[in-house]
Amino acid sequence: MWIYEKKLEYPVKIKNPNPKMAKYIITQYGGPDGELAASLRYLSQRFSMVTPQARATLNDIGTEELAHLEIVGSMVRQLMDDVSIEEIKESDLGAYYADHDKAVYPISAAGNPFTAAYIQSKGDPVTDLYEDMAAEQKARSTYEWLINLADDPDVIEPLKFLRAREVVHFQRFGEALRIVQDKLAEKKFYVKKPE
Amino acid sequence: MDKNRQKLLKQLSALDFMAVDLNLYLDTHPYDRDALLRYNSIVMQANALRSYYERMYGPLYSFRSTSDYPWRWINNPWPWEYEFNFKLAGEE
Amino acid sequence: MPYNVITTDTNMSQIQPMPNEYYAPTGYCIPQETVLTNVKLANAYVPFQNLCTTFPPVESLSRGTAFPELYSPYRSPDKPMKTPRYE
Repeated sequence: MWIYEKKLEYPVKIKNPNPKMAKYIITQYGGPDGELAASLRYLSQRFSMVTPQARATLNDIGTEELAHLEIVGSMVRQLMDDVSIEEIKESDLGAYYADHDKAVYPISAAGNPFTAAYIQSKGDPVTDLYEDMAAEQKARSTYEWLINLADDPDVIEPLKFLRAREVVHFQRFGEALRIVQDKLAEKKFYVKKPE
Repeated sequence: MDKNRQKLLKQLSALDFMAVDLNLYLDTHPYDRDALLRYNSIVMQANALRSYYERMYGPLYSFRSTSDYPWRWINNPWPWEYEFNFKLAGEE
Repeated sequence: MPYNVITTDTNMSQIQPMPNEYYAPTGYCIPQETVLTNVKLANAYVPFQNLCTTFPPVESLSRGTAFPELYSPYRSPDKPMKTPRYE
């Protein structure tokens, strides 16, 4: 089960609303390389993962991604706070506003709603871990493009934090992969009993 | 906003974050004694600070923290709000 | 004093975080595996990390990791990055 802790993993304190930035950053909420996809991917894959180390890694990184989802949602909400209809129209957020007002809804920057098609859970532990390492790289790149789009330090600092976590997660999945590959290589030397 | 609450929250968030990062390290290095010592020490410091924070400012955990009367869990601000958070870098 | 079931008797003086020297490196330490053995084609290998030192807590949170060897900040081509200030 999960226990909610009433605080963010990293603080979000954005003084100046910026609806344009909200429209970009929401992609890490419900986009193809976003935190919701990451969390669902790892928490689903853990059921069929092998080795205690790799199982724990998927469980714990999947959990941390939920905390990142909350950070990104908080950023989107604060960026849309107190924004006037005029500003919404000017910033291309009008289409979003028509469907969701200033609520937080899982879509990509281009407006595609979240879909489980973004993730895979293949049942092959090696395949899943390679997917996870690729996912961490894709998310890292997305955070870099978002940092390029931003100019407010209140926005850039949490983006840098989230990017740094992708690097650490990649390392952990890489170590988990080593353990899984070793484990599976061991098995190949087992002599099959004759029928 | 309550400066003392934010200062405490900053210390607690920093310790909890160390615990997250060391936890992930230990997942793939379960026999690293030094890392485990650091992890245990950080968690104990964080727990002491957490008890203090909860006594002062109300429950942090859903259904694991106790509350004064009336039920304090529902109190504002919530973590996604500007007022809840502390400033990490820059002006203090 | 509001009643509370939390039994840990703490006050602020008891819960000061560890001094920064606690996180300083102790002796010579290489923060990663340097030799990979039994490598096979068509497998990817990430070297294992070895724990050497960690940043102090607030600095760890600011940098997004407790491990200096995993800290590799992004340099945006479009803007000069300021190094964040820590307490």
